[in-house]
Amino acid sequence: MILNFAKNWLQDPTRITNQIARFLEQSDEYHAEFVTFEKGELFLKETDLNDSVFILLEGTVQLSKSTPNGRTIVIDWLRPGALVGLISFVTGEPALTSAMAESPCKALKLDEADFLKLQRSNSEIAQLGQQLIIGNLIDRYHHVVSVHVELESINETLQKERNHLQEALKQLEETQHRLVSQEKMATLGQLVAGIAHEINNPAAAMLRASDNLLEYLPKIIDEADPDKTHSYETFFRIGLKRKLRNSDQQREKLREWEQIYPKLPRSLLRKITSMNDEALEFVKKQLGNKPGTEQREQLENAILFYESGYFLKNLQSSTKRIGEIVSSLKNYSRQDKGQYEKTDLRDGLNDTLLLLSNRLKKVDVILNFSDIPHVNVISGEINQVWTNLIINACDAMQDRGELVISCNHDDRFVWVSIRDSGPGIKPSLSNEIFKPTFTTKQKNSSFGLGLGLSISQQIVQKHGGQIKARNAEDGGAEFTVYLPL
Amino acid sequence: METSDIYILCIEDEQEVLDAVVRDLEKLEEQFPVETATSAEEARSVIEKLLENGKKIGLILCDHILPGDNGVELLIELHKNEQLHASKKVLLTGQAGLEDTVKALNEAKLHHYIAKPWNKEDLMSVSVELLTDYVIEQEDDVLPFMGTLDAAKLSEFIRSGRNVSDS
Repeated sequence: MILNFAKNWLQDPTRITNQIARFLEQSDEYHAEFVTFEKGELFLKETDLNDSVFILLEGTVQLSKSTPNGRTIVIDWLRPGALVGLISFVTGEPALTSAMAESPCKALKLDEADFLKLQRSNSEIAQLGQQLIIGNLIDRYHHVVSVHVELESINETLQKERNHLQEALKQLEETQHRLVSQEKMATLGQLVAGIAHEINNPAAAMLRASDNLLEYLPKIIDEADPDKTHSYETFFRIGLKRKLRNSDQQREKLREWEQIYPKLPRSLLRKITSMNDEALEFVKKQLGNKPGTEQREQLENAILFYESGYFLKNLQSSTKRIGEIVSSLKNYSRQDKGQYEKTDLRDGLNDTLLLLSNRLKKVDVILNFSDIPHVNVISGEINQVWTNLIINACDAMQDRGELVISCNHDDRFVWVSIRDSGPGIKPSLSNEIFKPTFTTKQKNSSFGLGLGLSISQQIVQKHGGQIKARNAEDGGAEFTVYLPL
Repeated sequence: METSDIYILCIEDEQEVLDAVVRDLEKLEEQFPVETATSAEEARSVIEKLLENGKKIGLILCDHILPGDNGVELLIELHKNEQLHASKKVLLTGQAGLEDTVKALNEAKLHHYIAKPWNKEDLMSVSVELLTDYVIEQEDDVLPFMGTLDAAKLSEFIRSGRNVSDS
């Protein structure tokens, strides 16, 4: 019986409430009174002391509490059958929550005397009172449990959303980095193409001028020395064909001549000894054993023709070199195209190597190029991949060592592999290297964003290919780019 | 003009550029023999031979990037040799970063820094000034250098009476 009464109450709280209400209404011993509340009226206010308890008969009461940061949150709703103000009433402490009529309410208000009387009565009404209180507590406890469960599931959702947002933020940052870097590369490309174009014209003019000089000068020289007594033309041609000795041999030659001709100034001897051996024999004959002032002056004149030849040769080879660099720059940046084109990958590799030659001064570059078919690529982008991989290789080797670039193909793919003689990829990092912002480089790296491999990977994937990284058998890292045919 | 035993050493890996430097210093060679090296290794052996033969090195012009070495590192290394302490050191460079330059200044007591492409007059006047300082600091008798180096500075030095052998 006792075990069941709470169940009765839960099934129909108003039945007990109504019984109590009827009883109290009829009894003279109690001064309980019926009270009504308009919508929005307070039963009791949070933090106030409370000397009565209400049995809610009709309407809904909202319990709310203000938070430390000044907001008001709704804790629960009470329906007919509930006791309003029970806790503050029985503990004598300030009310935890405010209770407000959410709709017009009717309630029975009990004071302390009534409440005690209800508890102590011997009649059936005491049992009903106990059921009312215990029922209410059970109801509140149910509510607490369900709030906990709800809180947990909300927390879980929040955590998920937080992780999701973090992931999104990370991706956003990576994308931003990538975009900034791509934008930089694009700007750089335009700049390079512009400069290449600007240099091209003066370089072409220089080449034309030196070609003309090559044609005119022998004629002019011939007129200056019609009977060839001074051999000016011979000296000019020797200059044109000058080949550099290595500097040890050159030094030895100079020493040798200083001993033969101690009277001649070192700067003159230095110029003479830069000629090839055949020409030197010729000069020796001209000078004789003990050259006097006349021979010396003649030689000084002849040297001017020798040097003119050499300067012209220098001018031509330097101009040619500028021309090659300019054409590599133009090919490399490919600002004019930016479209897929059937391309020989070896051209782009050669252009890239020429442009990076400064970085590669101390590196032995070994090219194992097999014949490969043309591949449909955007050259400018693929060249960026070669650049990134070669620069990475240089960084790994600290600019000293061996760089082996090979290419080959089967019926589905063309591949290019770039192998350095650096320390290789640490196994623990092999999963990391293609991630954006991964870098092993310290502050000296050229770009510093650590995006090189990530961007390269993206470019190659866009072309339907992939990059594979591994450590070569004899150490060093090897990156192989596969591009589909 | 008497050739002195004070050498100028030019270190540069590109022969054409080395030629150009030597050519620009032609006037000085009447008195200061020029030696050349195309790598750090060669520079070391040239220096060793010169010092062995009792020669002095008054001026070292060094390219920034050398095969197998960095010009700054080489200058720092050379500066540690006591016999080269007084030598004037110049870095020729097409691409010095600030960091490298500062390092050269602090650790190699770099005296000058010439950016490529240089012009002949600048290279010449820098070299003359540095060699003038060198002979003032190192030579007992500066008179023989009046014809090639900064005569005004040398006479000022003589007048101030610090030239011991001259008194």
